Amino acid sequence: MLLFSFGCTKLDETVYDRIVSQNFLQTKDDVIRDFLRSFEHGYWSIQGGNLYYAQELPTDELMTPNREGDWFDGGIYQRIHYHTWTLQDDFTSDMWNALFSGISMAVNSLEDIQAIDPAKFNLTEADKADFIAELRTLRAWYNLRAFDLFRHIPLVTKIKGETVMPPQATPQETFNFIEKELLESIPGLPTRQSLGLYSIGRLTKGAAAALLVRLYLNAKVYTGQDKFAECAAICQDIINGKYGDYALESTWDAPFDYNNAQSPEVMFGFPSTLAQTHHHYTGGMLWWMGPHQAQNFFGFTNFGNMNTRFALQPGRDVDSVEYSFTLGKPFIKFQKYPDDLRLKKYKNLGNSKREGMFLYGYLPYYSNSNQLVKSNRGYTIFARDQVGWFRDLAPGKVLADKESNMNHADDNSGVWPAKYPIYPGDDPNTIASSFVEIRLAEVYYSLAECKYRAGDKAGAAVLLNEVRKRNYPGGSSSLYKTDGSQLTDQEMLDEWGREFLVEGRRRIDMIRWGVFNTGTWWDKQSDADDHTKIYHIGQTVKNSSPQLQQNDGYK
Amino acid sequence: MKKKALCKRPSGGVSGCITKTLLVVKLIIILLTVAALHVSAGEIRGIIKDESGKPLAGANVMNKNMNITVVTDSSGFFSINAFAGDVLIITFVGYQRSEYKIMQGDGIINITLQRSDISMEKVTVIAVGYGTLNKKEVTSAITHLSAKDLNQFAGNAVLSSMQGKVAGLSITNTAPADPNSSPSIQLRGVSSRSAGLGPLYVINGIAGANIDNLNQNDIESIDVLKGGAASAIYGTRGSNGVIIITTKNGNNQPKAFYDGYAGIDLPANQIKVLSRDQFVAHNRGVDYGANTNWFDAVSRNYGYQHKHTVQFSGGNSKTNYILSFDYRDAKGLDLRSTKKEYGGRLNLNHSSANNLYSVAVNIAPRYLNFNNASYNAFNQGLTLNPTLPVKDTTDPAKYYYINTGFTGSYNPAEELKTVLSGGEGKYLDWSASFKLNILKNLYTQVTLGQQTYDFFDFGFTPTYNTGAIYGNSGRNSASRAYNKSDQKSFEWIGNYSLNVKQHSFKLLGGYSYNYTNNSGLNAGNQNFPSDVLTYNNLGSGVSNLPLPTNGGSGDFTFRGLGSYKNDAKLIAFFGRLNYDFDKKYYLSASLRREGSSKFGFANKWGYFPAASVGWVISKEQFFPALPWLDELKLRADYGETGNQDFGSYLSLDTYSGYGYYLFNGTNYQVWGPSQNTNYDLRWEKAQNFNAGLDFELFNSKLTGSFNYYVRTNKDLLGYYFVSTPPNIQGTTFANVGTMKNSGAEIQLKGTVVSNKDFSYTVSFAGATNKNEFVSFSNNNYQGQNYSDMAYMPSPGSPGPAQRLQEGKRIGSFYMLRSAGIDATGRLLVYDKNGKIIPGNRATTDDRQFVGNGLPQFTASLGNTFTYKNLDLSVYLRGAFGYDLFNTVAFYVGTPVTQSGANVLTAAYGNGKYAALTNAETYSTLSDYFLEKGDFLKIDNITLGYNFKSPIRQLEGGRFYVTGRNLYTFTKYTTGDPEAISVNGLTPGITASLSYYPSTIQLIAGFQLKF
Repeated sequence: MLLFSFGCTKLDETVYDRIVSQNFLQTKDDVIRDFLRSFEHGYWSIQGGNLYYAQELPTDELMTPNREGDWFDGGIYQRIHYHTWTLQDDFTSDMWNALFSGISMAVNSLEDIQAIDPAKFNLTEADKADFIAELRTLRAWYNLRAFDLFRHIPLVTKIKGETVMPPQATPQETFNFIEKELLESIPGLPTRQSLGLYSIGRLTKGAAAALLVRLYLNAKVYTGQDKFAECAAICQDIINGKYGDYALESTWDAPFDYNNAQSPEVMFGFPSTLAQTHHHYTGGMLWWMGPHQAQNFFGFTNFGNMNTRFALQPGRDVDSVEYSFTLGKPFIKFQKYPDDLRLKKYKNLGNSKREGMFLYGYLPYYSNSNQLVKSNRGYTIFARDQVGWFRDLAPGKVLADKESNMNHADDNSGVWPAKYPIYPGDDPNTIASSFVEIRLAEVYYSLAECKYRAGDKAGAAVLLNEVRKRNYPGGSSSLYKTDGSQLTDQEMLDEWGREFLVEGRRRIDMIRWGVFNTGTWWDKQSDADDHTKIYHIGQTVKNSSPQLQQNDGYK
Repeated sequence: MKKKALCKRPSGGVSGCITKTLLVVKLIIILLTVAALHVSAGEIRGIIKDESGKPLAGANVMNKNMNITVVTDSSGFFSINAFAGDVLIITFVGYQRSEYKIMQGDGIINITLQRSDISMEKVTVIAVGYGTLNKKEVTSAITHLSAKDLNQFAGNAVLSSMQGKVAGLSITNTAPADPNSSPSIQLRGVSSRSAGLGPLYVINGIAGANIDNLNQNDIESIDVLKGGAASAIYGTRGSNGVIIITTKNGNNQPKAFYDGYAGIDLPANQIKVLSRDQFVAHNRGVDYGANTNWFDAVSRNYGYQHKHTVQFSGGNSKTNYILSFDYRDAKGLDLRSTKKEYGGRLNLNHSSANNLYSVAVNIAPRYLNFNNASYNAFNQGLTLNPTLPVKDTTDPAKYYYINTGFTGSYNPAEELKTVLSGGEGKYLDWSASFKLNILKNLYTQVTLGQQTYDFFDFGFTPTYNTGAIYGNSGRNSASRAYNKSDQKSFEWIGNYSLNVKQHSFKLLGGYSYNYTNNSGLNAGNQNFPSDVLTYNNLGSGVSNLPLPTNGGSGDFTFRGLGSYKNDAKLIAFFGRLNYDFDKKYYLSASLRREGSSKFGFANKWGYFPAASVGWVISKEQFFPALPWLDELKLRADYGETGNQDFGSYLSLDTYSGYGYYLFNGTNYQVWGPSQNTNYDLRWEKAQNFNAGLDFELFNSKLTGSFNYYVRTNKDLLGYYFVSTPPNIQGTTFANVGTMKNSGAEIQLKGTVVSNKDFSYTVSFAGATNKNEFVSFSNNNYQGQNYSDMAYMPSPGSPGPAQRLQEGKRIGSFYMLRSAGIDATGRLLVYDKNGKIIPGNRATTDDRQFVGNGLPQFTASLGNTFTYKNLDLSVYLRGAFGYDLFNTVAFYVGTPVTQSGANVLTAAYGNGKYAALTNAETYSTLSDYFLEKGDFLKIDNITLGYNFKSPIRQLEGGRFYVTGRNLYTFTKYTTGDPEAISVNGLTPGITASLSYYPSTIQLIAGFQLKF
C-alpha cells in the first residue's frame, strides 16, 4: 500500500483556464497584451475607483444631489460637496487602489518586458525600448494623478516578490521623480506621426511633454515652488511642434467626435469602440449624466437606462433668480457669451452629426418628438438650471417650496452636459468617440495662464482666442479683446471651466487659483481650513498599510 | 444497580443474547472437545420461548447456511435440517434476533428470545466514517437518525426531512415551496468567512456525494458527525461536520414496496400590501384604472407535486440487492417553476461462499428538468402599483409595459409567462468496492467511486416581451449554459480487530485519492430572426451588438461566449485505533495526513489528529446503584479538522484576460496578473473540543445525550485587504482570522406510554450557540478589525446593516440606534455622544451595535402516538433569542415610501411603521426596523394508518396525511420569520426584497408492501 501511495502524492495544480506567469509570454502578441494591461486599466480609471467624481463633485461644477431618495447614498455626495468628508468616508480607498494597482500593473509589465529577449518574440530592441519608455510614462501619468489627489505617495519601481509598500516620498521627491521619468522617457517615445493613424492610446513625446506641462503648471500647489517659467517654455515648444505635429480643431466638438482618434488636437486619449471598450460611456461618467430615460432622447437604447448621477450645479434659485455668488453657475458662465454654439440644446442631426452640448427643457424622444422623457416617478421632465422639488410644475409657474440644496432635488433639477455625442443606435458611429485625456487646447490655456501670471494679458488673450474662436460665429464679439483687458483671475478660472467643462480637472484649477477652500458657491460655504485640498488616505488602505502617514487635517 | 445476568455476545455486528452464562461455558467446552468431528445432516429440533418461559408460536427459524426457514408451531416447537456447525437465525416480531450455532450432539435446543423494548439492548449501528461502531462504543458527538425518525416531506431536498432533528444542525430553506430550492445546512454555527459552510456528505462510504441525488425512501439511516474527533478522519473536509447517509440494503426476503404521495402548497404567512382601493384612498400614486393583485398575478392557486417510489429487494445471506426507482413532478407556487425528475438506485452485495471476499456495487442515476422560479417576481408583487393592469389595455394579447414604481420595476406576470429560464440535469453516482477477508479479523477493502452531474440551462426572452421592446430595441435574446462536474475517488483501507480478554482493539489504516474536475461552456446571442427558435439556434442571431458593460439597470448580458475548466486533487493517508477495556473504558485516536492541490506550494500537506475517550461510569463498582439509571457514559473528544472548500488556483501567480485595448488598429485583449500570489495559502483549521454524556434511564425508557462543544476556526479563508502597492489587487485570498463557536446541545428520546394498543414517545432536540469573531489579523496580515456586511440595496443606498467585528457575535446589527419619532414624523436617532438627532443628520460614525440575528437557542419537540394501527406524529420546532431586520418594512412599509410603489398595509394605521411620515429619514438604517425573530412552529403533523393485507399477494400498507408548516407563533410582523435565513455570515437579514412565499404543505400518500 505504501509503495503504491508514493506514486499518488503529487499535488501540483493543472491550470486549465488561466495562464501562470512563468509560461505566459510566448509570442509577440503576448508581449503586447502584457504591455497593454495598465493602459486598459488606465482607461477604466478615468471614471472607475471614484476618480472622476473626486475631481468634479467637490468643485463648483457638477453635483450629485439627493433626488427624492436617489443618490443620497448615506450623504457621501453631500459631504463631498460641503468638503466635510471624514476619515470614515472610504471612497478615497477606491481612488488609491485604482491608481496604485494601475501603477503596480505598469511596473509588473515593465519588469516582464525588461526581462525578455526581444528577438525571441519577433520584436526589435527598439520595440522593447519603446514599450519600456511608454510604461514609464504611463506610470508617471498615474503617479501625477495620485500626487495631485494624495500628495504623499509611495514611489514604486519594483513589485515582483515585494510585499511591503515603500515609504511615502516627500512632495519634492515625488515631483522630481515624475519629472525625471518623463524627461528620461521622452527621447525613447514615439511621435504622433510615427504611429500614424493609431497614435491615440499611445504615449508619445507630445503626451509626455504635456504631462510635464501639468506638473509644472501646478508645481506651486504640489511643492510650494512655482515652475510657471518652465511650464511656459515647454508649452511653447509643444505649440512650436518640437514634440510632434499637433493642431487645434476648427469646431468645438471635433475633439470629442466619433473620429477624434485621428484629431490633431488630441495628444493622448483612450481608444473606444462600441463593441469592446468604452469606459467613459459608463455609469462612472457619461452614461449617468442624464435623466433616467434620456437614452430615448439620444435614441440609443442598447445600454438600458441612463441615470441622474451627475448634473451641472444650478445658477438660479427656485424662482429663477440668478445667484449672487461668483463661483460656480457653470451654465450661466456659458450664457455670458450668448452666441456660444455650445449653448444650443443637444440634438442628434443624423449622419453622425450633432449640435449643442447641453440637455435642458423638455427632452423629446429621438424616435418620436411628441413623446417626452419622463422621470421614473412619473412626471415629465423639464430640466432647468435650478434645484428643487419641481416635479409636475409647469415651466414658469411659481413653486411654493423654496428649498434648494444638496438634499432637496428632483429629476428636473440641473442642466445636463453632453460633451461627447451619443448618436442614435442605428448610427454607425454611435459610442465611437475616444476619450480625450490631453488635448492641445490645454497647452494653449496653460501657456495663457503662465503669460497672464507673468503680466502678459495680451499674450494670454491671443492664445485663449486661438481656441475660443471655434465656439462662436465668425466675427463674434465674444472673443477677448486682444489687449487682454477683460482678463481677471475670475475670468481666467471661468474660461478654464468653459473650455474644460466636465473634463475632470476643475478641482486642481480651483486649488491653483486659490478658491477651492475659500470660495463660496451653490449650497457651499467657505471652509474653515484647506485640508480638503488633498484627500485623506482611506481607512481600508490605511488598515492594510498602517505605516502610511495620514494627510494633515484629517482626524 | 442490578447487574444483568445475561451475556452479550457480538456476532457479525449484531449482538444477541443466546442463553445464560452457564450455558455458554458448557457450549465452549463442547466446542473445544468435539468441534473438529465430521457430522452429517440431520433433523435438529428445538423450542423457542420467551424470557418468562412461555413458548413462542410463529417465530421464524432459518438455517443460515442452507437457506431454509421454518416456523415454530403453537407450542414453540420447530424442526429443521442442519449440519453441526450450521447457524440458526431466529427472528420474531417484538423480540431480538438470535443466532445459534449447532453443536455436535445437541439434543432438543432450548432458545430463549429477549423482548425487544424500544431501546433496550437494541444495538444501533453508527457509521463513523470508514467503518461502523456499536452505539455503545461511540466516544464522540454523533447523532443517529433512522429512516423512521425523518419527517414526511414533499420537496426537493431530502435533508429537509431532518430539519430540527439534530441539535446543533441548522437546516434552513427560505423557499421550501420552490421546487428547485435546496436548504442551507450548517453545523454548530458559522465556521468560515469565504470557504464553504456546508457539511461533507458521505453516501454509502463515498465522500463528497451529490446530496441532491437521493430519494428519501432509500435512506436507511443518517449519522451526523458533529464532534471534531469523529469528523477529523475526513481531514480537510471535516470542519463543517460530516453527514453520513446509508441507503437501504436488500435482505433475504423478496419484497416490493411502493410509496406514493401528492401534495399541495398553499400560501401562508402572506405579506399583505394595499389593495387597489386602499392604494387609491391613500393617494399612493397615479391611478392607472386597473385592479390587480400582483401576488395573485404571479402565483398559481397552489403548488402541486406528486412522487412515486417503487423498490424491489431480495437475496440471501450471500447475495442481496435492492432496486429503487422514483419519479417526482412538482410545480411551484409561482407561474413558471416546475421540476420533473426520475432517478434510481441499485445496491448489490455479494459475498463468496467461503466469505473470503465480498463485493458491493451502488449505482444511482437521476435525470431532471426544471423551470426556474423568479424570486424577483414576488418582489414586484409587493411593490407594484395595484392600479396597473397586467395586460395591455388596448391589445389584450400584449402585456402592459411597466417601468415605474419601486426600483427596477417590470411586469412580473409577463416575465413568468414569456421569459424562459430553466434547464435539464443529470446525475450519475456509482461506487464499487471489493473486500478481502484475509483473516477472520483482518480485511482490506478497495473502493472506487465517481460522482458526476451536468446541467444544461437555457434562457430566452422573446421580441414581444415589453422589456425587450422598450429596453432592448425589440430584440429577442437567448442563452445556454452547460456546466459539468466530475469527482472520482479511490480509497483503500485495511481493518484489523483483536480481542484479548477484556481488551478489544480495532485498527484502521487507509489511503484516499480524490480528483474533482469542473468545466463548462456558455453562449448567448440576440436578435434572432424568429421567436419560434427560442434558445435553440443561437447562431442565427446577430452577435455584433454591443456588450452591455454599462452597469446599472437595463443590463442584458446575452451576447458572449465563455468556457472554463478547473480541477483539484485531495490525497490522504489515515489511521484510527479504537480500543476498549471491559466495555467500560473506550478510547479512539485517529490521524489523517492530507494534502490538497489548492493549497500554496509551501503548505500542501497538513495533519489532522483526533482523540476521544469514553467512560461508562455506571459500570463502576463505586457508582451508586440507582434503580432509575441504566447506563451513563461520559465522553470527551478533541479533533482538528480542515476546510478546503474554495476555488482552485487561488494560490498561484496567474494571468488572465481583461478588457480590450486598441493597438495599431487591432483590438487586443489585455492580459495581466489576475490575483495576488499567495504561496502560503492553506486549509482553514478547526480545533474542536467536545464533552458529553450519554444516558439511559428508567429501564431505557428515556435515552439521551448532552454535548458541550467549543470549536475554534483558525486561519479563516477570505479576501483580505492588503497594501497596494506593491500588490496589484487590493485584496489577497489568505488565511486570516479566528472564529469561535461554542454551545450546549441536548437530545432526548423517551417512551411515555407503551402498551399493547397505545404508545406515546417524545423526542426533543435543543441547542444553544455562542459565536465570537475572535480576531481578524495575524503576523502577516494586519488590518481592520471588522468587516461590514449586508449592504442594503437602492434606493437610498443605506449602507451596510451588519458588522463582523473582533469580539462580536456573527450577525451583529451595526446601524443607528433609534430614539423615537418626532412631531414631524421624522425618525430620531442617537449620535455617538448619545445626543438625539434626526436620522438623516447622522453619519456613519454614529452607528452602533444594536442587536443580533443569530438565534441563541433552537429546539424541536417530536411527539409520536400510536393506537393500534393508527399513528400520529406532531412535530414542533422553534428558534429563540434573536432579532430580524424587517427589510420589507424598511423599504415599503412606511407612508413615505416613494410614490408609485405599493406598500404594506401596516404603513397606514396605528402601527409603528405608519408613524414614520416624514420622507427625510426614509433611508435611515436603524434598529427601529429590528423585530424579535423568535418563533415556534407546528412544523409537521402526520397521521398514518397501517393495515395488514386481507389478500395474500399483499403484505400490508399504510395511508398517511401530512400537514407541514401549519402554524407559526411569532411576533414578527411581516411574513414568515423563517423566510429570513439564520445561516451564513449575515443571519437575520435579507438584503433584498426578493423572496419566495412561505406555504402550508398538505400531503396525502400511501404505501404498499408486497
